[in-house]
Amino acid sequence: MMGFLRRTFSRRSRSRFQTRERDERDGKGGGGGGAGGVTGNPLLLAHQQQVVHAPAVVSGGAVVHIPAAGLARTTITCRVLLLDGSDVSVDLPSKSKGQDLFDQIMYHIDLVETDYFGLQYMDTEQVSQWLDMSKIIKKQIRDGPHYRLFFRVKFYSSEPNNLREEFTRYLFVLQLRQDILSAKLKCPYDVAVELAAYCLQSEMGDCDPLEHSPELVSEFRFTPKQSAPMEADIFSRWLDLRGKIPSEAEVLFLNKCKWLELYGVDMHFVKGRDGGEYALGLTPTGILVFEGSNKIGLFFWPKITRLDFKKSRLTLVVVEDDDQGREQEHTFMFQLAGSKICKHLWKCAVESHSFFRLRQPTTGNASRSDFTRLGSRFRFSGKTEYQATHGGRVRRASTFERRPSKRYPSRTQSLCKAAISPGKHQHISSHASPDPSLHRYQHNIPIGHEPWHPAHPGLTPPVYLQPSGHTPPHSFPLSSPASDHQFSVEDNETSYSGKIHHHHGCHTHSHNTLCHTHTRNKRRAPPCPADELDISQSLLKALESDSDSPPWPSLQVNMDNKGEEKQLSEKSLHPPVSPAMLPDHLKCNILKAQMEAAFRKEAPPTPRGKNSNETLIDRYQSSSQDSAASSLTADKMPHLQDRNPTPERLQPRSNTSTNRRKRLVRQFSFNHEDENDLPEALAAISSQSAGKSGSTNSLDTQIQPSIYPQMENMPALELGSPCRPSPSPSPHPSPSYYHSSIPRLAPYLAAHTDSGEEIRLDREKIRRALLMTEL
Amino acid sequence: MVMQVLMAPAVSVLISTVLSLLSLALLLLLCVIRKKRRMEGTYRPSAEERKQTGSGEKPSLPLPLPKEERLI
Repeated sequence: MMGFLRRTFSRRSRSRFQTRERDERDGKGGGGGGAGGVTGNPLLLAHQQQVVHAPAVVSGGAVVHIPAAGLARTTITCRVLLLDGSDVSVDLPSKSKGQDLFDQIMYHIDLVETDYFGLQYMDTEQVSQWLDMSKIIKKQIRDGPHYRLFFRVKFYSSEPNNLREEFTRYLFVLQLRQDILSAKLKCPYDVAVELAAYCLQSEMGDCDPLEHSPELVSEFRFTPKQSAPMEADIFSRWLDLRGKIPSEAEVLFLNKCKWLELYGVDMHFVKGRDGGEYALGLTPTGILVFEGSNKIGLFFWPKITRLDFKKSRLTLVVVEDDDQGREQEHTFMFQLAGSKICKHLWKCAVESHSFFRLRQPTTGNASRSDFTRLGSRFRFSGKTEYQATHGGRVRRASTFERRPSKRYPSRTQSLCKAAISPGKHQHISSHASPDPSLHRYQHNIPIGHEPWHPAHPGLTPPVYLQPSGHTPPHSFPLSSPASDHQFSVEDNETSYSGKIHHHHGCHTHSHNTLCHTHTRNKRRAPPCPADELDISQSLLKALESDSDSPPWPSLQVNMDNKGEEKQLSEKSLHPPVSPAMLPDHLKCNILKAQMEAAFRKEAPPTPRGKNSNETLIDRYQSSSQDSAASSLTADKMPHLQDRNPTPERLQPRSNTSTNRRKRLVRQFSFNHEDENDLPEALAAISSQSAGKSGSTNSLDTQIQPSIYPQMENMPALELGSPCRPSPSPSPHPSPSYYHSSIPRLAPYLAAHTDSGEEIRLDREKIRRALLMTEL
Repeated sequence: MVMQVLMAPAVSVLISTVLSLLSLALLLLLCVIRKKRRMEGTYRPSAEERKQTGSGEKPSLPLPLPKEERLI
């Protein structure tokens, strides 16, 4: 008896202890991340875990907060991730039931056909459970105050044409896309191609061979194994779908998808009595039995007479018609990993059967007294499919917005990164400063900066990080290609900020060849819309600086290599270079290079050395002079800086608007990943300051133009003042002192920098810092 | 008289022990029931279906074959 009591009570205490452990683990690993479903249960192999919490396939979801606590004294906050990537946090009274939360979400997204959907959460034992609507949330999700739920399709409708609303179908499409991408739903090649074509037709409208290309297709991710010939097939299939509106395309998508073998199959992995690995799939027609990955049987629902579970064992009693027409009972027993998983499977089976097979939910049979019953009383509560399709009225048309898909770097970007070796001129030409995109980025700059500030310091942004309000949801883009590119650029920014290492963070502004450096990104490299250059150009445009050709004649020669640039960037995101913009752009880049070289905190890691050469070449077109060099040596920098002082001094005199400074500050402040990409030579230079400021945020302070001129105080100043809103433009008397000494220093340094002595490097640093004051 | 007085506390003690044992047993029973309810469950899908659609689902006897045609 004591043992029994110990078992019943201690289990709970043990689980409580375990939850605390798991909280820490989950906080780091699972969080809201895409791999949330994969962490955990060591009994099942990784591939067997259902990746239930795959990341959304669309971007642009907003972060919403719904305060629905009313007058309750104690509240809980539930975070729900929707299919379109939105993160909704709902405040509810502590004792609220699952139904309350569900209603809030349904009201928020304005969904009427709610019976197909459900909220899923991960319980303490890494089993994904469906939130029971009739029970209190707190009692179900027992780990901690972090209530993280996922809005998903619970019952995959057997006939998608029965879905009444377009919005419901759209959500189904999103869910299926997620399933296909996460390999939960296996798709043969031609079906995958067709489904992808439908998605493209829905999102991009009619395929225009002049503007769209298979490279554009490669920006999307449809299947886990996407190859270039597949993308070409998708593209040609897309051409055939001319004239289909999004809702039609989605209906076709669903109708094609419903014939897939694993469509709507709720897989649960079990062990047979012989110890073999089996899987049970719950479908509208019955229970599929898989051995490994082969289907070996289907038990129709009418034939299943009993479905019981006891602790970790599931018993299935099926009647089969014998050859002689007699009925024969077969009993199957399956072993599961744990009692919770077993119960979960049983509940799913019960619900699945009730939803698909019954006309109304089972009314509680009072055959057995509730008081002395021994088994679980769980039954499906809710509307069945029959009720959902036959009941109710269609409401008047409601509108919703389709979110654009997440975009990734296209194939050409990754290919050209592979093809181009460091030090070639072509790099420079590929970073064209396109005027139309310039216009776009000007628009983007004020929006884009703020959200990235907080994203920056966090080195591990959660996967679902979506800069709030960064990208307004796009209505269906039957739009011009220009806007397509626009939102693709924005999407790049948003998707990357979430998915990629912080290094990558702002560099969606980076260039084609920059992709190398962001090795964390396993996928293809970012398309490098040359944001950075464009931003600098836009800034310079705002500065009303005229094209300054004389100081950089050689650079212009390189810049005019339009042919190569065209070859490299087939996408119209990279229109040809405009020579007029380049010198300004170069100037700005040089400035930036100086700043960053002077105030870098950390030397770039050696593996990036080679890559960073390319990136530096990309970024700092000024270095095109040194194009052949494998590393930008220090003596080149002062060389360039020589040229800089004169034009730089001219510029600020002409226009000293705080706006521009603000933009510069903002631009540089979040672009401080660049410093990691500077070549080793600059690293050596700035390694002095490496030890002084550890956090990347300090770059904000460093770039402030009004840096006091005292040499020894400079590093201290870098750390000292956080972002000043508008740095003072007026040069101090002491800076001017240094100012005048700069030209003298410059040739001196040009001659002696190679020596690498610390003092000279310091002086160079100071000089660069002071040059910043010129702004 | 004295015996009666001595008996009363013994009886009460006895009664209290019995009650405590009973309550303990009840507690144990409740634990067992709760555990069983949590760990077990049974469901009869075909029975549910039959309830819904009545007994017209499964024709036990095949329909009578039509009369054999005879050649005239």
